[in-house]
Amino acid sequence: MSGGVRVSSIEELVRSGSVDELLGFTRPYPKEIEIRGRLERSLIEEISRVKKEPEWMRKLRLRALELFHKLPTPRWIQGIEEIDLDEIAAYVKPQTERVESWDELPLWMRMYYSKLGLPEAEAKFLSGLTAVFDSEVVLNKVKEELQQKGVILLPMEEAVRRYPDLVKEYFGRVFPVADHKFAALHFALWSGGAFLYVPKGVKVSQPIEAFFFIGSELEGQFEHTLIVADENSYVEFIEGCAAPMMKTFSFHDGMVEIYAKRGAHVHFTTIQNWSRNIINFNNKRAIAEENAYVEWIEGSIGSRITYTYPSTVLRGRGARTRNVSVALVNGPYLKDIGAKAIHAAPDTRSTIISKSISAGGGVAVYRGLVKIVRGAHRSISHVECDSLILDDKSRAYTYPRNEVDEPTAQLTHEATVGRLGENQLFYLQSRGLSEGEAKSIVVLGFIQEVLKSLPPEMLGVLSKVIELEFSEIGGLG
Amino acid sequence: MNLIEAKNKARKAYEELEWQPISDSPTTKYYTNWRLYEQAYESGPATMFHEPKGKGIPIGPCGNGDQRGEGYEISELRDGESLGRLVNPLESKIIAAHYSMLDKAYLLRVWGNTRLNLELCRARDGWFSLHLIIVVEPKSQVDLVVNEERTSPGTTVFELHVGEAARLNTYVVLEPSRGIAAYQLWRRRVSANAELRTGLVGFSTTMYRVEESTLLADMRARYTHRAVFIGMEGDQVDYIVDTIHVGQKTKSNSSIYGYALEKSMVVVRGLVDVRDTAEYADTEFSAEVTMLGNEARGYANPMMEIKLGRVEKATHRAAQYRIMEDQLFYLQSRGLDERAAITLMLLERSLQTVRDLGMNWLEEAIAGLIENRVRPRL
Repeated sequence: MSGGVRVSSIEELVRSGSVDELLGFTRPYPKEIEIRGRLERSLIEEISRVKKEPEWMRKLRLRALELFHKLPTPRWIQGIEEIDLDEIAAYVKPQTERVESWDELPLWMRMYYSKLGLPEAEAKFLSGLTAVFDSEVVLNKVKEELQQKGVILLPMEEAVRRYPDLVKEYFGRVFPVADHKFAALHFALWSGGAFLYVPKGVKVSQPIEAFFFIGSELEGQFEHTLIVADENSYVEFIEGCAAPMMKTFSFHDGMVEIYAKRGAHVHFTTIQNWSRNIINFNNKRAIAEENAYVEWIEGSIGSRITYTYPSTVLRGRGARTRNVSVALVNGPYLKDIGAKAIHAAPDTRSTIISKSISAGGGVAVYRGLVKIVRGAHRSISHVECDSLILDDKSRAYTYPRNEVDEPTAQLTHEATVGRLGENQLFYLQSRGLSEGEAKSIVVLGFIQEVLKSLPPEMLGVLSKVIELEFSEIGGLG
Repeated sequence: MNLIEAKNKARKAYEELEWQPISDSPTTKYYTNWRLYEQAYESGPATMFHEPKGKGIPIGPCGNGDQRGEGYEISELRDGESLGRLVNPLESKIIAAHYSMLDKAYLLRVWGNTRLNLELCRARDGWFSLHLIIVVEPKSQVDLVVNEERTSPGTTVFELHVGEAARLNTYVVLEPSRGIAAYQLWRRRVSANAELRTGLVGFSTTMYRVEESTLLADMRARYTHRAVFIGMEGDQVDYIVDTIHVGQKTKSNSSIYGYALEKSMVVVRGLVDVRDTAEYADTEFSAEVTMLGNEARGYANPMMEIKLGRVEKATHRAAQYRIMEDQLFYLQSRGLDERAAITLMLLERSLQTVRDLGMNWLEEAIAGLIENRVRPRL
């Protein structure tokens, strides 16, 4: 890497303890465009104009805006009172052109990515990467393997322009615009994100990553990722996110839509490590056709508040989904996460595994839905959610919703909430471990099963981050 | 608050409240058809009552007024006498409806070593609200059976206070007539070192919502609950069991089973709420639905809120499934047809509830009930 910026290794990244610590506070940087103001038609049209969008997309945005104003704010959501959408920037374009190599990025931006170890990771084990900074894709790298196999990996805006028919067929069709108020807001303001198309029968050997970065406070990020996996294809997609520390907050309302056609396998992994200033809404939904398989893996570590419920609609016979999540809430924060599986065809299967750990006054919520509709004969679903509470200030809530309208189907759900066993701690400490180390071991043991589900590249990173997070609280007792 | 005050406030509240205010929560859903209650409410109050079929102590307007026997005393609440304080007349629209239609409330005091069989009065017409406050004196050992054969729409509310170190077993049998919208609420408060064991076997009607809420208020209060609810025809059952742990070292263990026959919809759900004062609380909650009809629907939603780290144990489980073909095959291979096999399974599950609670003396009555209500329907 040239320009005096040294790349952090993964080891350095995890040694720093947290991404907040690694990135420090926000620093000013040059912005080419910043659109901020009252959330009304003119603002939406300005975004659409800046992006040189086709008419159908402009209309979709305006319809979404109308729906946003009409739909009620969900009353059960907490912690969003301080969000004043007129105050936050709806669109921010940093001063840089989109490039295809790290060296071409401005120095100040390269420094962030290098600290996160992204160039190193990309070189070692990714077959493609899209990096979004604020509202725009700043880097899109596609390795030769993808090009040879006809895989399309593009910034979402470019896909809208270059492949209008393909995008139009799926965009907003998996996650409807009118689904809820914040989905409508997303569609009105979306910017950045990746479009991935994997052709029939193509197996992508290395994962593809999209990385999202919010550079400054009072900013909204609304990136949109759309993955279309054609028949019998295979792809692993990793989503990462980070932000430096801020004095106030920023708001993330991103979306992922996945369409898995007959026999396709899509593995989608998120490592969410926002700073403690981000209010995070993450809308994720997939449709799985006949014998398709969709896997959602979520490692949710950072953010002040997170609401996310990755969902799969099992639309074709024999479709399957697996949803695995680990939520860590270390401090006075809220993680309201879960999963949804809609069985809409016979012989479909879903497995949901959720593990949460709350400490330091954190609240971890599992909120899920399994719906087996009439006609989804012989479908089977299994849900497991386990919570670990590490101190008396913290809380864990479990709200499953299990609805079976098909008599030949079967659904089981099990949940436990446990505390950190004093005997366990005593045993480990008697063998020379500090309280912090002992707690880390207990926590890692608790999520061991989930860690096994991660792509090998991410396993080391996540387990190290968890180790550090919970080593820190040793001192708090 | 006394009854007159409650009625006045409730009438106003009924006009102002919504049926279910938290309608847009992703976890609180309408499983109750409130429209049926509204229609029933608008049809006006019941005016004619008849005695229950059973031979227990009648409770309500068909009863004998104030009664006293060995270990118990039943009285009508006089004007100005306070209600049980576990139910707020303004807390929901259905409760407002209950109070605004309520003519009299009754108080049952029980003490010593006592076994009672209560039979609730029935109405011939219109909405019927029945309200019973039960006070079990400290250190008593009481068995209580409550039979309700509701024949008209309306509400039945129980407020139960279990005194310190008392031991109370209750068993509730719900046998409503067809085609009504019925609501039953139990609010229970369990004091220190007391043990409450409750059972229920219920049958559906067009709409039956049953809510049971038990507060383990003080140290070492214990609660065991076993229930079976059977849905038939196109009926709808919404059965909610909530447990709140407040006292230290409190313990709860609830298992609720729903069976959905024919085109019925059976929902079994509830919340275990372990408050931050309930150190070393221990709780297990299981909710299961078995679908026995080809067009049946079954929802099982046990929820948990744990508000402290120092909890001894907190687990819940849910299951929804169809009767296993190998179970049926086993029974059929022993000469039982499908109808007999299903009846036998329901019978076994229901009998297990009384056995788990140590109320084996009810077995014969429960067996007769299942045989008479279930077999003809299959």
